[in-house]
Amino acid sequence: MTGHRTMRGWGATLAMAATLGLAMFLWLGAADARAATAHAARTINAVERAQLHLVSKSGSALLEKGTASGSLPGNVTAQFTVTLVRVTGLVTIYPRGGSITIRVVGSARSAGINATFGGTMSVAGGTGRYAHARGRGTFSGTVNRRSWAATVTARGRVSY
Amino acid sequence: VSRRTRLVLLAVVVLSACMPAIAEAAPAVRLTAAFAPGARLGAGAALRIGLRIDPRQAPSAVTSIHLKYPASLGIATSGLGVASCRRAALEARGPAGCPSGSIMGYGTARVEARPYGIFENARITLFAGAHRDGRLGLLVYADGEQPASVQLIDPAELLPAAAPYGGDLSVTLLPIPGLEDITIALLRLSISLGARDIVYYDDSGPKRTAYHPEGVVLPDRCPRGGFRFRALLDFEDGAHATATATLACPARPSYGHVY
Repeated sequence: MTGHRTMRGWGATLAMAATLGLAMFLWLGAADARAATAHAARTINAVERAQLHLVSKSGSALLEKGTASGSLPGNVTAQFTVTLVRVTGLVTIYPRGGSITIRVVGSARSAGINATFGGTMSVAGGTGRYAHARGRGTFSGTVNRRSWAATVTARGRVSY
Repeated sequence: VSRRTRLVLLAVVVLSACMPAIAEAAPAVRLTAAFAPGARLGAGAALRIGLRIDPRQAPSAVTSIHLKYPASLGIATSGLGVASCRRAALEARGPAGCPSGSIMGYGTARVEARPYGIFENARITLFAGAHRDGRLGLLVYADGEQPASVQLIDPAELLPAAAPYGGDLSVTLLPIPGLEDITIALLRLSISLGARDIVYYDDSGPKRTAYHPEGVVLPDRCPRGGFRFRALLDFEDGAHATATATLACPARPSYGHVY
């Protein structure tokens, strides 16, 4: 009986050791995964310069396309709503490996034929390697109010 | 039938007779809105706004006008007002003192000088002014020639407006300095925003080019129930009046078929 108890005790001890080992393995594995995730996450001080041209206008909405160069180069699509002197919109950049969508809120700073504008922006979402992107920044630029061609410079801190 | 019942019936009959008269009474203010001929969805067009004030219904003079326009219309995207006119320059030199790029619209007005019963027609030019605190300043220049040569400048601005409106064109009609005992009562006002005869000059390229700003940008799709406008007028005696107008959707662009 004692032997049985001993065996059961060993069995229990082994089982506990195995459970602990498994738990340790899982914890360490998770920690490794966390470390790997932390290692993979990147934060950059992005500076982007975009050249946009008008695709279509509908009421207060402007649909523009173009290209961005800088930290996240790629094609750009942008939809702006312009009401009086306020501009809001969504800008999507398509760098290699995914896309980043940025919400912009700004205002006109001058109203000449080449009007200047500026404002703030925040990452609204992303796809691919930018699926979990987040960040914020500022932008400024000029727009020709006849052709609606725009040049925008954006600066911000983006993690992905 | 008791005397009291007869009196109640009589009152009902009298009220019933009066109701149509009240319902059909001419409104103090009529508002009209129209796009220029050829306007189409998704493109720019001149927007014509008209106000008519019935002096029998509104005997006092108008002191301010708020015209609310639909959010679906692109005023900021119109490309109108690519330069600013300064009030001092307009006072000193008239419209010649302002850059052509500041002209946003032309119109006409008819006023009555009270109590003398003198009527005058004036040409109206709407200029873009300065940006201030998220508002676009405007100047309304009225040029009357007959029977008296009178030039007036009234301040105006484009203000934000609560939905379903996209903005509020606010005009303040100031008393004429030195003629405070004369009431200049507005009877009719018509203005065409983005009129086709507006000419701008683009100096951004190597060569200066003249062009017509495209006018107020219509949406791709018509808002349900059409384009709704609302005018709110304040009068000198403290009275207020409102008027609404709904502008039907212009036809969709039709493209010819190639066979």
